[in-house]
Amino acid sequence: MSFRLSGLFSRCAIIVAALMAAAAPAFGASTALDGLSLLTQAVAADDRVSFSGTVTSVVYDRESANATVVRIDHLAPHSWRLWFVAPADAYGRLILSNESVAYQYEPKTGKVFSNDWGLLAPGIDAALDLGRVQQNYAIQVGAETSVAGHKVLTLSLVSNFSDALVQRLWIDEVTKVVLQREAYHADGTIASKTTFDNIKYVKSLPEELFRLTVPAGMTLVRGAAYGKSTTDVATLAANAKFKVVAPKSLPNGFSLQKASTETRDGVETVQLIYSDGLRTFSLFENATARLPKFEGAAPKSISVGGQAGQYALLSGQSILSWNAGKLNLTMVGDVGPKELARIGAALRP
Amino acid sequence: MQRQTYIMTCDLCRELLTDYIHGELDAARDAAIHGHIQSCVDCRNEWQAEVELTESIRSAMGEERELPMAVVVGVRHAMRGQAAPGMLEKLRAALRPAILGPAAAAVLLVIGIVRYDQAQHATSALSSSYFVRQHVAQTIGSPSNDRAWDAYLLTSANANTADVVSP
Repeated sequence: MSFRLSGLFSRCAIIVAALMAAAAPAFGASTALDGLSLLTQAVAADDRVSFSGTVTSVVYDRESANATVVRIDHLAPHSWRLWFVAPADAYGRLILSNESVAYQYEPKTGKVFSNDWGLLAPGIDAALDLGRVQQNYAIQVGAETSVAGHKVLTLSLVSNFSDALVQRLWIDEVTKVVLQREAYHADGTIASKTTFDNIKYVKSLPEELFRLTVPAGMTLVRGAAYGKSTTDVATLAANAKFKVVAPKSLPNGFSLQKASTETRDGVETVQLIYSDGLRTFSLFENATARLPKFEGAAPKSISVGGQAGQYALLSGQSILSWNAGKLNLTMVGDVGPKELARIGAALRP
Repeated sequence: MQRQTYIMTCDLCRELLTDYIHGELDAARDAAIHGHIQSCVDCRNEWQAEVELTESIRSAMGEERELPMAVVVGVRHAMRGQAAPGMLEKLRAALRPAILGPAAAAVLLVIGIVRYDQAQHATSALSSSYFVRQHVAQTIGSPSNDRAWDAYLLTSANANTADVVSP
């Protein structure tokens, strides 16, 4: 079930973040904006622009694709309401968020899951590291076109190292809201697509739409718990019950961003998070020397520095796992499995 | 279906806080406390302090944390102490070690053995979706990462053992 849900939310996720990667001030049509300026405005747009619309998102896995349709109402700067229209098994799901707390209403189970956004996602307020993006990517402004009846400019983000197209954004010329977004795998194939089928910009929306309340007949329960991340990786590693190892080499442009640790069912897992500004991957380590159980499609075999590893594509993310010594090492991210295996080969517990 | 509802007060919240932290309350009371600490700063601070204390004790206890924590919880309950005991209670208290001591020791020993055995023979493995969710949750700060909501807003996999699977 978790796999099913995971995929499902993945789809919805794309929807929302397309909005979150939304645009800035509504100050008239753009004039000769350079790529960086346009991106800068796009990532801050949702703080200024309120809207209602319908978004369709598709996440492409290796052998399948999952689509989700969500009705989204956003009241700037921080209120969100997502109403799931499709697929059928998600119909009726409602998510309300004020970017501090989010309630997820599950009518089928009569539960409301409460998640502390601030606690679970310490980086939510962090601005996009535009310096890093600029360092690692060419930001190219393309031709004018239209999405959902609005004039947009296209923005292509191309790796400075591999020349691979990593993302394309379609940004409303007036509001700077991202109206469409596509992400691509390293081999050029599409990984996900999110697009507004329709969108209407509004001055305001009723506050009641976004009020976090628990209806009669539903029970409020706590949502997921995650380890709190820290940039003090050295201290975190020193406190771990096993020796934490780090890759000796990284792909161009990537560096260690932060780390976290969590204990689940008695298993302490350390997570190291790397990023190049747009793409991210995590390295998980625990002392179980046990591969995770892969849900859904059967994993494929791959050698990781001479060790037998397994990889799969799950919810648009590559996941690669292998054992080395007493450790289980698992990598997850929007980086191809072969590239992950190359990084993993440099790990020596 | 009739649902039990509770009007949560600060006093009741604090009385039940330890059980809440250890997940020992029924769903209705758990929900009531959860809702209360969302809106009551004092109780939330109390809850946070309890959580931090619990974590520090767990850290100090290392691998055998489960057993000592049970003891700690009991001590806490006792410390929250009720009114001064009457004569009957004192008599019971005086007899309790003699009657219950061996039995309690046996129970604790069994629990300890089970915990030790579990620690030595970890048979569970994490699921692949667990790792994906953890990754997405920690990278939500990046506007480029749409899938953040996948982990952040998950539901069914939260409060159960869906992340842990039998071999």
